Amino acid sequence: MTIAHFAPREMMAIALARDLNDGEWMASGANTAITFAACMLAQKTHAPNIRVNLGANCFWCNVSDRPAEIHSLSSDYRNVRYAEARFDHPEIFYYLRRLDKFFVSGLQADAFGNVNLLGIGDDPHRLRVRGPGSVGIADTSAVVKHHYVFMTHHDRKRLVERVDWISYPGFIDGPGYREELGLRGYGPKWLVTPKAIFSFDEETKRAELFRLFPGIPEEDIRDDTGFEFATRADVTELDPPSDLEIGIVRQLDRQRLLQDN
Amino acid sequence: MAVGRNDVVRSGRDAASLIEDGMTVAVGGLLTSNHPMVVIRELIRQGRTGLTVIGAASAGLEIDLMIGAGIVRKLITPFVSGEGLVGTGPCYRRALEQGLIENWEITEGMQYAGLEAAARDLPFLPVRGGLGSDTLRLNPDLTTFRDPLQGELLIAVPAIKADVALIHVQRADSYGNGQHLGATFGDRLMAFAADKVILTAERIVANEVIRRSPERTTIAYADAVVEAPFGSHPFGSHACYREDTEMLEQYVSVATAFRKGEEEEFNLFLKEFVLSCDDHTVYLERIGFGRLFSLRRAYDYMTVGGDNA
Repeated sequence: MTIAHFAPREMMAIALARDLNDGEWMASGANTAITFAACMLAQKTHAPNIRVNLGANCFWCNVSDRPAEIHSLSSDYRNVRYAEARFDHPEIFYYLRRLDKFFVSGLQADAFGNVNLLGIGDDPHRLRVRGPGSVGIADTSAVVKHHYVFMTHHDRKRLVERVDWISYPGFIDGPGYREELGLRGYGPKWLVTPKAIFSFDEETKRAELFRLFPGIPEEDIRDDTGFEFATRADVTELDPPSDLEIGIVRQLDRQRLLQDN
Repeated sequence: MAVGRNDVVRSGRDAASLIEDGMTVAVGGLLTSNHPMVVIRELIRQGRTGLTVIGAASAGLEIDLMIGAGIVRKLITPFVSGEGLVGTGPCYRRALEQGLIENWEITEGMQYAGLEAAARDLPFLPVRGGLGSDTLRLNPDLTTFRDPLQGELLIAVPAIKADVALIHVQRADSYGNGQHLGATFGDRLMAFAADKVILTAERIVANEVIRRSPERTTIAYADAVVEAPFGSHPFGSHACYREDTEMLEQYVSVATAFRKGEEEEFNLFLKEFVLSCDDHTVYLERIGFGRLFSLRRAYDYMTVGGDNA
């Protein structure tokens, strides 16, 4: 039996959790309640050996065997309840080559999985909308094996053919660009939104429709996406949350950060 | 009679006077935790100008306040965000959209490489992260080169040196030995890259307390220590108290209005919580015991990491 109603952000967390493998190393950054929930859910179900840094807290955390809660502010000291090992924040750069997964979000994402946290506009010194800055996502792109790009809204403003400015280089302009620059890692694995999951075509490196969120028709995705995309032959609807998955997510999300606003 | 050791405990006012107009100041903590607010407010009160500010790898509204108050000329930080409170710092956004301050575009890895180069007295350190990103293209001081051993493409990040690092710790002794009781964020590297270090400490403790667990001393021999209970307010202080969400939301509201062209509320906020607070005691009295203790209570039940401050 499955839960009748779930919030899109809960489904995002659950879909991500299902793709995390036991024993993987991963980190989640600022403003990432969805990805905290995904990592914690995975540790509590099929992947108790995941090594995860929850937000900007400079601790490796494990919640597989204890009650846990996600907090909206990622440097919150309450995350230290789940901590086993400390590091100075600069030392995350000594861990990057071990990281299997990293989560990236921003103002815009594009057809090649690039992400923009710099801003919107043509003149970089007079941007129409200045973003918060590139933080660490350019750095992780050069080393970490896989990235999940996630966007909390699915619309043409945010999902564009080409971002105004690249903070996180995904596949940049297509095949060969990452290799020419010597970027390690496989680039973006998925682009996840509240309506769909895109994967990236092996040859063209463009986003292609991979999974639909339950109840969302493909035409809606096409209408709300600002880039052209192919649909994979094996596209299906995501399995909706199981009782177990949604039960754990809601225990984690006592503050209802993943609910609809 | 033997000469006694130096006592570096200073008032907030005296510590702030170590920072002159035009100096480069590194501000510790990260996002909503562990910010040296007592000295930040003092710098604003004293009318400091033209500062180059090195914010944390993920800086927050503490930097936004400094920008809004007009004391920043140049900014070096990869990120200024209030996370769920406000995605981009409003005063930061206003200043960059209108070209009011110089912004040295940079990523986290570059920030740390630059600070480490300064600490090691090297002209630069190389990074790979940033290749393929516009952050690289937007900063004319970053150059790419091929390494002399294997010919790999890399970015040379010039040393980022600070005159003074401002670090908030949970306890320190009067000789300048500071102990963080939670995360250290990027504080140690900032201290290594600076000529002088000012600590604000929730509590000043006896040297014997520090000697009981010297392995917990994260900053050695700071140049000044300021007694600062609730010294990170309105931000949280690890092991002590959580952030004051209500005041942060109030700040976001007045700073957003300021960004949109309405100065009055922001100026009133500055007046009430910065300019008219002669010292930290006045500030705390203005916030009030009830509020401060409720913030402390949120962490009192936690028994991680040993004693709370």
